[in-house]
Amino acid sequence: MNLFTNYMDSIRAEDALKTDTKINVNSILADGGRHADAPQNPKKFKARRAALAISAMAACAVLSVAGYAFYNTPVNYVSLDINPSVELGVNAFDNIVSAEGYNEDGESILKDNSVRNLSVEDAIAVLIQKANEQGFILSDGSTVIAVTAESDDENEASDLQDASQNGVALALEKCSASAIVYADCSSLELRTEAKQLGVSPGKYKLIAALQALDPSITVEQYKNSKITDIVADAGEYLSSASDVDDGEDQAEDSTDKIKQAAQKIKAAKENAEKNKNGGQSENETSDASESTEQSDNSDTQSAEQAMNQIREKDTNKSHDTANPVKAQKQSEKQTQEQTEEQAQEQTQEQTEEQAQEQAQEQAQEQAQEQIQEQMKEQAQEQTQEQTEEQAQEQTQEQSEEQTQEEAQEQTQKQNPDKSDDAASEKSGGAAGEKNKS
Amino acid sequence: MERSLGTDDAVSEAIEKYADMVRRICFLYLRNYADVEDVFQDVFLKYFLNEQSLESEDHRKAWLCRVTFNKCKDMCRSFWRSRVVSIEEMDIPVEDPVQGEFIKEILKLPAGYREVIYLHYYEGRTVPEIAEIMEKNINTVYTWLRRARDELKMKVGDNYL
Repeated sequence: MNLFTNYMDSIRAEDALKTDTKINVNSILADGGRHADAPQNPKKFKARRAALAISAMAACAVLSVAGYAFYNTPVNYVSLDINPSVELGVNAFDNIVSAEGYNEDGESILKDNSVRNLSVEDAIAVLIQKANEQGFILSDGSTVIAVTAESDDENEASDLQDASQNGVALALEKCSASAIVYADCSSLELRTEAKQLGVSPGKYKLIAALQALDPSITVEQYKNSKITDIVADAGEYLSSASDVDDGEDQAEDSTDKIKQAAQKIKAAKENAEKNKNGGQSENETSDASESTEQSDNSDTQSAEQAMNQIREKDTNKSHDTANPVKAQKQSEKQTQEQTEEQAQEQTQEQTEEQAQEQAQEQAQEQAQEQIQEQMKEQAQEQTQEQTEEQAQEQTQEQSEEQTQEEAQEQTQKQNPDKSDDAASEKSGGAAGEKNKS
Repeated sequence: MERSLGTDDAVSEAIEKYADMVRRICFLYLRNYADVEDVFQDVFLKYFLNEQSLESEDHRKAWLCRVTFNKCKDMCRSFWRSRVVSIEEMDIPVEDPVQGEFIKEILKLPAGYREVIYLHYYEGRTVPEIAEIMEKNINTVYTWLRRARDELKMKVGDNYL
């Protein structure tokens, strides 16, 4: 410990330090020392500590408010239209942060249903189920459900579209309902236009497509129509003016979808009628013509799709020159669409085949009935003949009996006395005469 | 209000008397000259404000030790200090490297341990006195002394103790 003590000895208070301290202490004491009892440093430190603590809390508060605000800010939108029109606000995490009904029906499916914080898929599934419960989805499967993703980012738009479609599919499966799904995307600019007119963006886009086909159409006309009707009307225009295919490229995609959707509506409605009326010959012929129509359309569809793929690739070059992922996605989408169409065609064919079989069976039954009738007739004829023959026999017998009776009467008349003998003589005589000669 | 012993001379005298001791304690805890200045000012100001209650020389020394020690601890513990590293750090002027090592090891001890070593080996205080100055239990002081010695032994060897 000597080391320690020696060293400590060598430590002295510096002169300057002593002098300064003297001066300071004196001046403070001169200023009314008692009040300076609490030296400034602890206060400084405490004040600093307090200040830091408060600023830390303030920072936390600001961050949490900012975070909350950010979470609740919609970045993209998805609109769901059947007849009810609903627009869901989607935040950066793909959760729903706002839901707005664009018409009364829309508000009625939103009522009592919080879709906040659900994922896009789940929210749409819930709303579709509600719509089904409230009867907006027809049981013949001809209702068109339009889901439109509104975003300025193409990737996000297609992701939202897929998620929405999945949600619809899930819900339809759950309620054992069927409907036609029309999925599309639009830009946020379109959304602002739509809002100004008081229509949901999804519906607006379809009405715009209609307007492209017939410029005389106004938004007011179709503002309150069902999506199914808009699509069906658009389908009418498209089928009658099918040489408008070399129009703008973007419109191509949507018009194609509209065409397909319209055809599906037709098919669904006709299927429903078929099931009502059962195999009448009229329907047979209409089935036959339909099946040929559809096979033609499927050919044109695949041809159009091929053309569209080529065109889309051209347009996408301007957006993303080297984006194989996106191209893949699109081609995947298209193949998905194709397989879906094929599946639908197959089911349609199957239902047609079943109808045809039923018709055939009924025809066979009728034929059998006719044959049976004929046989019955023949049998009747035969029995009539038989009875006639019998009648004839009877009359013959009767007449024979009559002649015999007459003959007897005659003999009796000729030989009244020798009735028996005479008869016997005659008969014997006759017999004798015969013997002699 | 008037202070009892407020003349410049009294101030000067007291400071002269106790400055070295205060400085040594500061050395054990502070590395920054600005901090030392602060402590000096605080300690001596307090001293003059409380002078009346301090009767004997012994009492005064003890009191000063305690106040200085507490002030130094506050300094070290302050939020500000732990965030800010001073530009001017004091060196430990040492001639003998062995001595330097030893001193450094002492400085590495926890705060209370340094104090008891200083009070016991340099100031020559008894354990009960130390206990009073530091406002700790006597047994605590014994334990600290023992532990401090053990640690130093471990690091420096038996010779210097």
